[in-house]
Amino acid sequence: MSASMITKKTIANALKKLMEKESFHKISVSDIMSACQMRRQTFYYHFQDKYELLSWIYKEETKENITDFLDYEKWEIIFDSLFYYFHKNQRFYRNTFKVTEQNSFQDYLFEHTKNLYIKIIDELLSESHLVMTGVIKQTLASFYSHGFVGTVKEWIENYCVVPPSDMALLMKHMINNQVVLLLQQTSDSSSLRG
Amino acid sequence: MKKILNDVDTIVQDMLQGFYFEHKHRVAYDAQHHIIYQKDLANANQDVAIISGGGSGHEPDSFGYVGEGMLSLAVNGQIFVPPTPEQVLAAIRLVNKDKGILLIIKNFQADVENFLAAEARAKTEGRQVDHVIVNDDVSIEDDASYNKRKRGVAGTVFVHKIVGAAAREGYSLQNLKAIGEAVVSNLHTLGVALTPAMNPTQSGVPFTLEDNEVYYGIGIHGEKGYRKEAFFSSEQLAIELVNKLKSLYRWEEGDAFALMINGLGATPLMEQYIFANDIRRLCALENINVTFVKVGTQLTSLDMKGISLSFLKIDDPNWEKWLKAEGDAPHW
Repeated sequence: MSASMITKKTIANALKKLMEKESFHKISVSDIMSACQMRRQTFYYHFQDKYELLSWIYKEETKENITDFLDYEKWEIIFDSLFYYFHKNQRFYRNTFKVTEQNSFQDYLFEHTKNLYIKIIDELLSESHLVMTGVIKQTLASFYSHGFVGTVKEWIENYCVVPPSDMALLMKHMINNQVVLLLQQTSDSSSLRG
Repeated sequence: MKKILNDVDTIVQDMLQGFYFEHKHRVAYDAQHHIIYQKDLANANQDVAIISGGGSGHEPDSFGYVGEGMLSLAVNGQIFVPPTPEQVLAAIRLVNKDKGILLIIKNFQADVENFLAAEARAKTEGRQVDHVIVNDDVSIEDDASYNKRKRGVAGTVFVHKIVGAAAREGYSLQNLKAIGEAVVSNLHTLGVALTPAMNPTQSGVPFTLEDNEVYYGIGIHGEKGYRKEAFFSSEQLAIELVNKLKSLYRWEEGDAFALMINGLGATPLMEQYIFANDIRRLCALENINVTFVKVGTQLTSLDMKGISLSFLKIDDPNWEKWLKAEGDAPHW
Protein backbone atom coordinates (compact mmCIF):
# COMPACT_ATOMS: atom_id res chain seq x y z
CA MET A 1 0.00 0.00 0.00
CA SER A 2 1.49 3.31 -1.05
CA ALA A 3 0.99 6.09 1.45
CA SER A 4 -1.78 8.50 0.49
CA MET A 5 -0.96 12.16 0.97
CA ILE A 6 -4.59 12.96 1.66
CA THR A 7 -4.79 10.21 4.28
CA LYS A 8 -1.70 11.74 5.87
CA LYS A 9 -3.43 15.11 5.81
CA THR A 10 -6.56 13.60 7.33
CA ILE A 11 -4.54 12.10 10.18
CA ALA A 12 -2.65 15.38 10.60
CA ASN A 13 -5.90 17.31 10.69
CA ALA A 14 -7.22 15.05 13.45
CA LEU A 15 -4.09 15.68 15.54
CA LYS A 16 -4.30 19.43 14.93
CA LYS A 17 -7.94 19.50 16.05
CA LEU A 18 -7.16 17.48 19.19
CA MET A 19 -4.22 19.74 20.01
CA GLU A 20 -6.46 22.77 20.12
CA LYS A 21 -7.71 21.39 23.45
CA GLU A 22 -5.27 18.76 24.68
CA SER A 23 -1.54 18.76 25.18
CA PHE A 24 0.48 16.63 22.73
CA HIS A 25 1.63 14.29 25.47
CA LYS A 26 -1.90 13.34 26.45
CA ILE A 27 -2.89 12.44 22.89
CA SER A 28 -2.36 8.84 21.80
CA VAL A 29 -2.29 7.34 18.32
CA SER A 30 -5.63 5.69 19.16
CA ASP A 31 -7.12 9.09 20.03
CA ILE A 32 -5.94 10.50 16.71
CA MET A 33 -7.27 7.60 14.67
CA SER A 34 -10.64 7.44 16.38
CA ALA A 35 -10.98 11.19 15.82
CA CYS A 36 -10.61 10.66 12.07
CA GLN A 37 -12.54 7.39 12.07
CA MET A 38 -9.76 5.26 10.69
CA ARG A 39 -8.22 2.02 11.91
CA ARG A 40 -5.31 2.40 14.28
CA GLN A 41 -3.17 0.26 11.98
CA THR A 42 -3.63 2.81 9.15
CA PHE A 43 -1.61 5.28 11.19
CA TYR A 44 1.43 3.04 10.99
CA TYR A 45 1.17 2.70 7.20
CA HIS A 46 1.85 6.43 7.10
CA PHE A 47 3.90 7.39 10.16
CA GLN A 48 6.21 5.65 12.61
CA ASP A 49 4.91 7.50 15.63
CA LYS A 50 3.19 10.72 16.62
CA TYR A 51 6.49 12.61 16.68
CA GLU A 52 7.03 11.81 13.03
CA LEU A 53 3.48 12.99 12.34
CA LEU A 54 4.15 16.29 14.08
CA SER A 55 7.33 16.77 12.13
CA TRP A 56 5.48 15.95 8.88
CA ILE A 57 2.91 18.66 9.66
CA TYR A 58 5.65 21.27 10.13
CA LYS A 59 7.40 20.21 6.97
CA GLU A 60 4.34 19.88 4.75
CA GLU A 61 2.47 22.97 5.89
CA THR A 62 5.47 25.30 5.75
CA LYS A 63 6.25 23.99 2.25
CA GLU A 64 2.65 24.30 1.07
CA ASN A 65 2.29 27.81 2.48
CA ILE A 66 5.63 29.22 1.38
CA THR A 67 7.70 27.36 -1.19
CA ASP A 68 4.71 26.21 -3.28
CA PHE A 69 3.64 29.86 -3.62
CA LEU A 70 7.00 31.28 -4.70
CA ASP A 71 6.21 31.00 -8.40
CA TYR A 72 2.52 31.90 -8.03
CA GLU A 73 2.25 34.96 -5.81
CA LYS A 74 3.94 38.26 -5.13
CA TRP A 75 6.12 37.98 -2.04
CA GLU A 76 4.02 40.63 -0.30
CA ILE A 77 0.97 38.40 -0.58
CA ILE A 78 2.92 35.36 0.63
CA PHE A 79 3.66 37.27 3.86
CA ASP A 80 -0.02 38.17 4.21
CA SER A 81 -1.09 34.56 3.73
CA LEU A 82 1.57 33.23 6.06
CA PHE A 83 0.54 35.42 8.98
CA TYR A 84 -3.10 34.60 8.25
CA TYR A 85 -2.23 30.89 8.37
CA PHE A 86 -0.33 31.12 11.66
CA HIS A 87 -3.08 33.24 13.17
CA LYS A 88 -5.64 30.58 12.24
CA ASN A 89 -3.45 27.78 13.59
CA GLN A 90 -2.08 29.60 16.62
CA ARG A 91 -3.56 27.31 19.29
CA PHE A 92 -2.02 24.27 17.63
CA TYR A 93 1.39 25.92 17.35
CA ARG A 94 1.38 27.29 20.93
CA ASN A 95 0.75 23.75 22.03
CA THR A 96 3.49 22.25 19.86
CA PHE A 97 6.11 24.67 21.19
CA LYS A 98 5.80 22.79 24.50
CA VAL A 99 6.86 19.54 22.83
CA THR A 100 10.56 19.49 23.65
CA GLU A 101 11.28 16.06 22.11
CA GLN A 102 10.36 17.31 18.63
CA ASN A 103 11.05 20.91 17.76
CA SER A 104 11.81 20.79 14.06
CA PHE A 105 9.20 23.53 13.53
CA GLN A 106 11.85 26.23 13.51
CA ASP A 107 14.10 24.28 11.15
CA TYR A 108 11.37 23.78 8.57
CA LEU A 109 10.01 27.29 8.84
CA PHE A 110 13.55 28.61 8.52
CA GLU A 111 14.26 26.51 5.43
CA HIS A 112 11.16 27.68 3.58
CA THR A 113 11.32 31.29 4.77
CA LYS A 114 14.85 31.41 3.47
CA ASN A 115 13.57 30.36 0.03
CA LEU A 116 11.15 33.27 0.27
CA TYR A 117 13.87 35.77 1.19
CA ILE A 118 16.08 34.52 -1.64
CA LYS A 119 13.19 35.12 -4.05
CA ILE A 120 12.70 38.62 -2.63
CA ILE A 121 16.39 39.49 -2.88
CA ASP A 122 16.59 38.13 -6.43
CA GLU A 123 13.58 40.18 -7.49
CA LEU A 124 14.89 43.35 -5.83
CA LEU A 125 18.32 42.88 -7.39
CA SER A 126 16.85 42.34 -10.81
CA GLU A 127 14.55 45.39 -10.47
CA SER A 128 17.46 47.63 -9.53
CA HIS A 129 19.98 45.99 -11.92
CA LEU A 130 22.31 45.10 -9.05
CA VAL A 131 24.39 41.99 -8.55
CA MET A 132 25.54 40.21 -5.40
CA THR A 133 27.58 37.07 -4.73
CA GLY A 134 25.74 33.91 -3.78
CA VAL A 135 27.39 33.74 -0.38
CA ILE A 136 26.32 37.25 0.57
CA LYS A 137 22.81 36.60 -0.66
CA GLN A 138 22.59 33.41 1.41
CA THR A 139 23.90 35.24 4.48
CA LEU A 140 21.40 38.03 4.09
CA ALA A 141 18.51 35.61 3.54
CA SER A 142 19.61 33.59 6.60
CA PHE A 143 19.75 36.69 8.77
CA TYR A 144 16.22 37.76 7.91
CA SER A 145 14.85 34.22 8.08
CA HIS A 146 16.24 33.67 11.58
CA GLY A 147 14.66 36.93 12.60
CA PHE A 148 11.38 35.96 10.96
CA VAL A 149 11.19 32.53 12.62
CA GLY A 150 11.94 33.93 16.08
CA THR A 151 9.46 36.75 15.60
CA VAL A 152 6.67 34.42 14.46
CA LYS A 153 7.29 32.07 17.38
CA GLU A 154 7.19 34.89 19.90
CA TRP A 155 4.11 36.39 18.28
CA ILE A 156 2.27 33.05 18.58
CA GLU A 157 3.47 32.52 22.16
CA ASN A 158 2.10 35.99 22.99
CA TYR A 159 -1.34 35.06 21.63
CA CYS A 160 -0.98 36.97 18.36
CA VAL A 161 -1.91 40.25 20.02
CA VAL A 162 -0.67 42.25 17.03
CA PRO A 163 -3.11 41.62 14.14
CA PRO A 164 -1.71 39.37 11.36
CA SER A 165 -2.09 42.11 8.75
CA ASP A 166 0.03 44.46 10.89
CA MET A 167 2.69 41.79 11.30
CA ALA A 168 2.81 41.24 7.53
CA LEU A 169 3.02 44.99 6.96
CA LEU A 170 5.94 45.23 9.35
CA MET A 171 7.84 42.53 7.42
CA LYS A 172 7.08 44.25 4.12
CA HIS A 173 8.21 47.64 5.41
CA MET A 174 11.38 46.09 6.71
CA ILE A 175 12.16 44.74 3.26
CA ASN A 176 11.24 47.92 1.44
CA ASN A 177 13.08 50.22 3.86
CA GLN A 178 16.06 48.13 4.93
CA VAL A 179 16.77 45.42 2.40
CA VAL A 180 16.54 47.67 -0.64
CA LEU A 181 19.04 50.10 0.87
CA LEU A 182 21.21 47.28 2.09
CA LEU A 183 21.36 45.70 -1.35
CA GLN A 184 22.46 48.97 -2.86
CA GLN A 185 25.21 49.41 -0.26
CA THR A 186 26.31 45.78 -0.41
CA SER A 187 26.31 45.80 -4.15
CA ASP A 188 28.29 49.07 -4.22
CA SER A 189 31.05 47.52 -2.16
CA SER A 190 33.15 45.93 -4.88
CA SER A 191 34.62 43.16 -2.71
CA LEU A 192 31.12 41.65 -2.35
CA ARG A 193 30.11 41.92 -5.96
CA GLY A 194 29.43 38.71 -7.87
CA MET B 1 0.51 13.26 -36.23
CA LYS B 2 -2.65 11.20 -36.60
CA LYS B 3 -5.90 13.18 -36.33
CA ILE B 4 -9.38 12.12 -37.38
CA LEU B 5 -9.95 14.88 -39.88
CA ASN B 6 -9.84 15.55 -43.60
CA ASP B 7 -9.00 19.05 -44.69
CA VAL B 8 -7.46 21.37 -42.11
CA ASP B 9 -9.22 24.31 -43.78
CA THR B 10 -12.70 22.87 -43.24
CA ILE B 11 -12.33 21.49 -39.72
CA VAL B 12 -14.91 23.82 -38.16
CA GLN B 13 -17.55 23.38 -40.88
CA ASP B 14 -17.08 19.60 -40.88
CA MET B 15 -17.43 19.43 -37.10
CA LEU B 16 -20.52 21.66 -37.01
CA GLN B 17 -22.20 19.66 -39.79
CA GLY B 18 -21.55 16.53 -37.77
CA PHE B 19 -23.06 18.07 -34.65
CA TYR B 20 -26.07 19.29 -36.62
CA PHE B 21 -26.53 15.80 -38.10
CA GLU B 22 -26.85 14.50 -34.55
CA HIS B 23 -29.06 17.29 -33.18
CA LYS B 24 -31.14 18.61 -36.09
CA HIS B 25 -34.37 17.71 -34.33
CA ARG B 26 -33.66 20.43 -31.78
CA VAL B 27 -31.09 22.86 -33.20
CA ALA B 28 -30.71 24.88 -36.39
CA TYR B 29 -27.46 25.58 -38.16
CA ASP B 30 -26.42 28.74 -40.01
CA ALA B 31 -23.65 27.27 -42.16
CA GLN B 32 -22.58 30.62 -43.55
CA HIS B 33 -21.86 32.15 -40.15
CA HIS B 34 -21.12 28.96 -38.21
CA ILE B 35 -23.96 29.46 -35.76
CA ILE B 36 -25.74 26.68 -33.90
CA TYR B 37 -29.01 27.81 -32.32
CA GLN B 38 -32.20 26.57 -30.76
CA LYS B 39 -34.63 25.48 -33.48
CA ASP B 40 -37.61 27.04 -31.77
CA LEU B 41 -35.75 30.26 -30.97
CA ALA B 42 -38.60 32.42 -32.28
CA ASN B 43 -41.10 30.79 -29.92
CA ALA B 44 -38.80 30.54 -26.90
CA ASN B 45 -40.73 31.60 -23.83
CA GLN B 46 -38.12 34.00 -22.47
CA ASP B 47 -37.45 37.71 -22.89
CA VAL B 48 -33.69 37.47 -23.33
CA ALA B 49 -31.64 35.30 -25.68
CA ILE B 50 -28.24 34.13 -24.43
CA ILE B 51 -25.43 34.11 -26.99
CA SER B 52 -21.96 32.75 -26.43
CA GLY B 53 -19.15 31.41 -28.52
CA GLY B 54 -15.52 31.87 -29.26
CA GLY B 55 -12.74 30.08 -31.02
CA SER B 56 -13.16 26.40 -31.83
CA GLY B 57 -11.03 23.76 -30.14
CA HIS B 58 -12.85 23.97 -26.78
CA GLU B 59 -15.66 21.51 -27.53
CA PRO B 60 -18.22 20.80 -26.24
CA ASP B 61 -18.10 24.53 -25.37
CA SER B 62 -20.03 26.29 -26.60
CA PHE B 63 -22.38 24.69 -29.15
CA GLY B 64 -22.84 21.68 -26.87
CA TYR B 65 -24.62 24.00 -24.42
CA VAL B 66 -27.25 25.23 -26.87
CA GLY B 67 -30.55 24.14 -25.43
CA GLU B 68 -33.45 25.07 -23.24
CA GLY B 69 -32.29 26.64 -20.01
CA MET B 70 -28.79 27.32 -21.28
CA LEU B 71 -27.54 29.00 -24.49
CA SER B 72 -29.89 30.23 -27.22
CA LEU B 73 -27.12 30.54 -29.81
CA ALA B 74 -23.43 29.66 -30.11
CA VAL B 75 -21.14 31.37 -32.65
CA ASN B 76 -18.05 29.43 -33.68
CA GLY B 77 -14.75 30.86 -34.84
CA GLN B 78 -11.81 29.00 -36.35
CA ILE B 79 -9.47 27.03 -34.06
CA PHE B 80 -8.46 29.30 -31.19
CA VAL B 81 -9.66 32.33 -33.18
CA PRO B 82 -12.84 34.10 -32.07
CA PRO B 83 -15.75 34.64 -34.44
CA THR B 84 -15.71 37.90 -36.39
CA PRO B 85 -18.00 40.79 -35.44
CA GLU B 86 -20.02 39.92 -38.59
CA GLN B 87 -20.61 36.39 -37.33
CA VAL B 88 -21.70 37.62 -33.89
CA LEU B 89 -23.94 40.26 -35.51
CA ALA B 90 -25.49 37.54 -37.67
CA ALA B 91 -26.27 35.60 -34.49
CA ILE B 92 -27.89 38.66 -32.90
CA ARG B 93 -30.03 39.16 -36.02
CA LEU B 94 -31.39 35.62 -35.72
CA VAL B 95 -33.13 36.67 -32.49
CA ASN B 96 -36.60 38.31 -32.61
CA LYS B 97 -36.34 42.09 -32.53
CA ASP B 98 -38.47 42.40 -29.39
CA LYS B 99 -36.07 40.33 -27.28
CA GLY B 100 -33.06 41.37 -25.27
CA ILE B 101 -29.69 39.74 -25.93
CA LEU B 102 -26.96 38.88 -23.47
CA LEU B 103 -23.50 38.01 -24.80
CA ILE B 104 -21.31 35.76 -22.65
CA ILE B 105 -17.69 36.48 -23.61
CA LYS B 106 -14.51 34.76 -22.48
CA ASN B 107 -11.98 37.40 -21.47
CA PHE B 108 -9.49 37.18 -24.32
CA GLN B 109 -8.66 40.44 -26.00
CA ALA B 110 -9.75 39.43 -29.52
CA ASP B 111 -12.95 37.80 -28.24
CA VAL B 112 -13.90 40.88 -26.25
CA GLU B 113 -13.13 43.22 -29.17
CA ASN B 114 -15.13 41.23 -31.69
CA PHE B 115 -18.16 40.63 -29.49
CA LEU B 116 -18.27 44.24 -28.33
CA ALA B 117 -17.93 45.52 -31.91
CA ALA B 118 -20.96 43.40 -32.80
CA GLU B 119 -22.81 44.66 -29.72
CA ALA B 120 -22.17 48.28 -30.72
CA ARG B 121 -23.42 47.70 -34.26
CA ALA B 122 -26.49 45.83 -33.05
CA LYS B 123 -27.36 48.73 -30.79
CA THR B 124 -27.37 51.07 -33.77
CA GLU B 125 -29.95 48.69 -35.27
CA GLY B 126 -32.12 49.28 -32.23
CA ARG B 127 -31.26 46.04 -30.43
CA GLN B 128 -31.18 45.68 -26.67
CA VAL B 129 -27.78 44.04 -26.14
CA ASP B 130 -25.53 43.71 -23.13
CA HIS B 131 -22.71 41.38 -22.11
CA VAL B 132 -20.93 39.51 -19.32
CA ILE B 133 -17.17 38.98 -19.52
CA VAL B 134 -15.94 35.81 -17.83
CA ASN B 135 -12.47 35.98 -16.25
CA ASP B 136 -12.19 32.95 -13.96
CA ASP B 137 -8.60 31.96 -14.89
CA VAL B 138 -6.43 32.55 -11.80
CA SER B 139 -3.13 31.43 -13.23
CA ILE B 140 -0.55 34.18 -13.67
CA GLU B 141 0.58 36.46 -16.48
CA ASP B 142 3.79 35.50 -18.22
CA ASP B 143 5.59 38.72 -17.22
CA ALA B 144 7.04 38.20 -13.70
CA SER B 145 4.30 40.42 -12.23
CA TYR B 146 2.42 37.49 -10.63
CA ASN B 147 -0.77 39.28 -11.67
CA LYS B 148 -3.60 36.87 -12.23
CA ARG B 149 -4.25 36.19 -15.91
CA LYS B 150 -8.03 36.60 -15.66
CA ARG B 151 -8.90 34.98 -18.98
CA GLY B 152 -12.17 33.13 -19.43
CA VAL B 153 -11.87 29.35 -19.07
CA ALA B 154 -13.93 26.37 -17.84
CA GLY B 155 -15.93 28.36 -15.30
CA THR B 156 -17.66 29.94 -18.31
CA VAL B 157 -19.83 26.82 -18.48
CA PHE B 158 -21.23 27.62 -15.01
CA VAL B 159 -22.08 31.11 -16.28
CA HIS B 160 -23.86 29.61 -19.31
CA LYS B 161 -25.89 27.36 -17.03
CA ILE B 162 -26.82 29.85 -14.32
CA VAL B 163 -27.62 32.74 -16.64
CA GLY B 164 -29.40 30.42 -19.10
CA ALA B 165 -31.62 28.92 -16.39
CA ALA B 166 -32.40 32.38 -14.98
CA ALA B 167 -33.29 33.63 -18.48
CA ARG B 168 -35.81 30.83 -18.81
CA GLU B 169 -37.41 32.00 -15.56
CA GLY B 170 -38.02 35.36 -17.24
CA TYR B 171 -35.35 37.57 -15.72
CA SER B 172 -34.70 40.86 -17.51
CA LEU B 173 -31.57 41.68 -19.49
CA GLN B 174 -30.39 44.02 -16.74
CA ASN B 175 -30.92 41.37 -14.05
CA LEU B 176 -29.23 38.64 -16.08
CA LYS B 177 -26.17 40.81 -16.58
CA ALA B 178 -26.04 41.46 -12.83
CA ILE B 179 -26.42 37.74 -12.07
CA GLY B 180 -23.69 36.86 -14.57
CA GLU B 181 -21.29 39.43 -13.16
CA ALA B 182 -21.94 38.34 -9.57
CA VAL B 183 -21.21 34.74 -10.57
CA VAL B 184 -18.00 35.76 -12.34
CA SER B 185 -16.75 37.65 -9.28
CA ASN B 186 -17.06 34.45 -7.21
CA LEU B 187 -15.59 32.08 -9.81
CA HIS B 188 -11.98 30.84 -9.98
CA THR B 189 -10.40 28.17 -12.17
CA LEU B 190 -6.94 26.65 -12.22
CA GLY B 191 -5.69 23.79 -14.38
CA VAL B 192 -2.80 21.42 -14.84
CA ALA B 193 -1.45 19.88 -18.06
CA LEU B 194 0.13 16.46 -18.52
CA THR B 195 0.75 17.17 -22.21
CA PRO B 196 0.42 20.24 -24.45
CA ALA B 197 -2.33 20.44 -27.07
CA MET B 198 -1.55 19.74 -30.72
CA ASN B 199 -3.18 22.37 -32.88
CA PRO B 200 -3.79 20.86 -36.35
CA THR B 201 -3.59 24.31 -37.95
CA GLN B 202 -0.12 24.98 -36.56
CA SER B 203 3.16 23.17 -36.43
CA GLY B 204 4.89 22.67 -33.12
CA VAL B 205 3.56 22.87 -29.59
CA PRO B 206 3.33 25.89 -27.27
CA PHE B 207 5.38 24.26 -24.51
CA THR B 208 7.11 20.97 -23.86
CA LEU B 209 7.08 18.66 -20.85
CA GLU B 210 9.27 15.77 -19.86
CA ASP B 211 7.51 12.40 -19.69
CA ASN B 212 7.17 12.59 -15.92
CA GLU B 213 6.35 16.30 -15.71
CA VAL B 214 3.15 18.25 -15.16
CA TYR B 215 2.59 21.97 -15.69
CA TYR B 216 0.36 23.91 -13.30
CA GLY B 217 -1.61 26.92 -14.41
CA ILE B 218 -1.65 26.38 -18.17
CA GLY B 219 -4.28 28.21 -20.24
CA ILE B 220 -6.69 26.78 -22.82
CA HIS B 221 -4.66 27.94 -25.85
CA GLY B 222 -1.27 26.79 -24.62
CA GLU B 223 -0.66 29.80 -22.38
CA LYS B 224 2.22 29.05 -20.05
CA GLY B 225 1.70 27.86 -16.49
CA TYR B 226 3.42 28.89 -13.29
CA ARG B 227 5.35 25.75 -12.34
CA LYS B 228 6.54 22.49 -13.83
CA GLU B 229 7.26 19.61 -11.48
CA ALA B 230 7.66 15.86 -11.47
CA PHE B 231 4.34 14.03 -11.37
CA PHE B 232 3.65 11.34 -8.80
CA SER B 233 -0.09 11.21 -8.09
CA SER B 234 -3.55 12.62 -8.69
CA GLU B 235 -3.54 13.64 -5.01
CA GLN B 236 -0.50 15.83 -5.60
CA LEU B 237 -2.37 17.73 -8.34
CA ALA B 238 -5.52 18.04 -6.25
CA ILE B 239 -3.60 19.39 -3.24
CA GLU B 240 -1.72 21.93 -5.34
CA LEU B 241 -4.83 23.31 -7.08
CA VAL B 242 -6.97 23.34 -3.93
CA ASN B 243 -4.24 25.14 -1.95
CA LYS B 244 -4.07 27.88 -4.56
CA LEU B 245 -7.85 28.32 -4.70
CA LYS B 246 -8.00 28.24 -0.89
CA SER B 247 -5.48 31.09 -0.69
CA LEU B 248 -7.60 33.20 -3.04
CA TYR B 249 -10.93 32.59 -1.32
CA ARG B 250 -9.70 32.32 2.27
CA TRP B 251 -12.82 30.26 2.88
CA GLU B 252 -14.26 29.50 6.29
CA GLU B 253 -15.68 26.18 7.42
CA GLY B 254 -19.22 25.78 6.14
CA ASP B 255 -18.87 28.13 3.15
CA ALA B 256 -20.88 26.79 0.19
CA PHE B 257 -19.26 26.06 -3.17
CA ALA B 258 -20.18 24.58 -6.54
CA LEU B 259 -17.29 22.67 -8.15
CA MET B 260 -16.42 21.73 -11.69
CA ILE B 261 -13.80 19.14 -12.52
CA ASN B 262 -13.12 19.49 -16.22
CA GLY B 263 -11.15 17.25 -18.55
CA LEU B 264 -9.04 19.35 -20.93
CA GLY B 265 -9.58 17.18 -23.99
CA ALA B 266 -7.77 13.85 -23.76
CA THR B 267 -8.30 12.99 -20.09
CA PRO B 268 -10.25 9.76 -19.53
CA LEU B 269 -13.33 10.04 -17.33
CA MET B 270 -11.79 7.43 -15.07
CA GLU B 271 -8.95 9.83 -14.26
CA GLN B 272 -11.36 12.74 -13.88
CA TYR B 273 -13.33 10.79 -11.29
CA ILE B 274 -10.19 9.70 -9.43
CA PHE B 275 -9.21 13.37 -9.24
CA ALA B 276 -12.79 14.22 -8.19
CA ASN B 277 -12.49 11.76 -5.32
CA ASP B 278 -9.31 13.50 -4.16
CA ILE B 279 -11.12 16.84 -4.32
CA ARG B 280 -13.97 15.33 -2.30
CA ARG B 281 -11.58 14.27 0.47
CA LEU B 282 -9.80 17.63 0.53
CA CYS B 283 -13.09 19.53 0.72
CA ALA B 284 -14.14 17.29 3.61
CA LEU B 285 -10.88 18.14 5.39
CA GLU B 286 -11.53 21.84 4.84
CA ASN B 287 -15.08 21.33 6.02
CA ILE B 288 -16.50 23.40 3.19
CA ASN B 289 -20.02 22.75 1.99
CA VAL B 290 -19.99 21.42 -1.57
CA THR B 291 -23.55 21.88 -2.84
CA PHE B 292 -23.02 21.06 -6.52
CA VAL B 293 -20.44 19.05 -8.46
CA LYS B 294 -19.97 18.68 -12.21
CA VAL B 295 -17.41 16.21 -13.52
CA GLY B 296 -16.70 15.79 -17.23
CA THR B 297 -15.14 17.11 -20.38
CA GLN B 298 -16.81 20.53 -20.53
CA LEU B 299 -14.39 23.07 -21.97
CA THR B 300 -11.26 21.74 -23.60
CA SER B 301 -8.01 22.65 -25.21
CA LEU B 302 -8.05 20.33 -28.24
CA ASP B 303 -6.29 17.10 -27.23
CA MET B 304 -4.57 18.31 -24.10
CA LYS B 305 -4.17 15.77 -21.33
CA GLY B 306 -4.94 17.53 -18.12
CA ILE B 307 -7.66 18.77 -15.86
CA SER B 308 -9.03 22.01 -14.53
CA LEU B 309 -10.73 22.73 -11.25
CA SER B 310 -13.32 25.50 -10.92
CA PHE B 311 -14.76 26.73 -7.65
CA LEU B 312 -17.83 28.96 -7.48
CA LYS B 313 -18.52 30.42 -4.06
CA ILE B 314 -22.28 30.31 -3.70
CA ASP B 315 -23.27 33.85 -2.81
CA ASP B 316 -26.93 33.48 -3.75
CA PRO B 317 -28.94 30.27 -3.16
CA ASN B 318 -30.60 30.74 -6.55
CA TRP B 319 -27.29 29.85 -8.22
CA GLU B 320 -27.46 26.35 -6.82
CA LYS B 321 -31.08 26.06 -7.97
CA TRP B 322 -30.17 27.19 -11.49
CA LEU B 323 -27.19 24.85 -11.68
CA LYS B 324 -29.54 21.99 -10.82
CA ALA B 325 -32.40 23.12 -13.09
CA GLU B 326 -33.50 20.73 -15.82
CA GLY B 327 -32.62 21.61 -19.41
CA ASP B 328 -31.88 19.88 -22.68
CA ALA B 329 -28.42 21.14 -23.64
CA PRO B 330 -26.74 17.93 -24.90
CA HIS B 331 -23.37 18.33 -23.19
CA TRP B 332 -24.34 19.76 -19.79
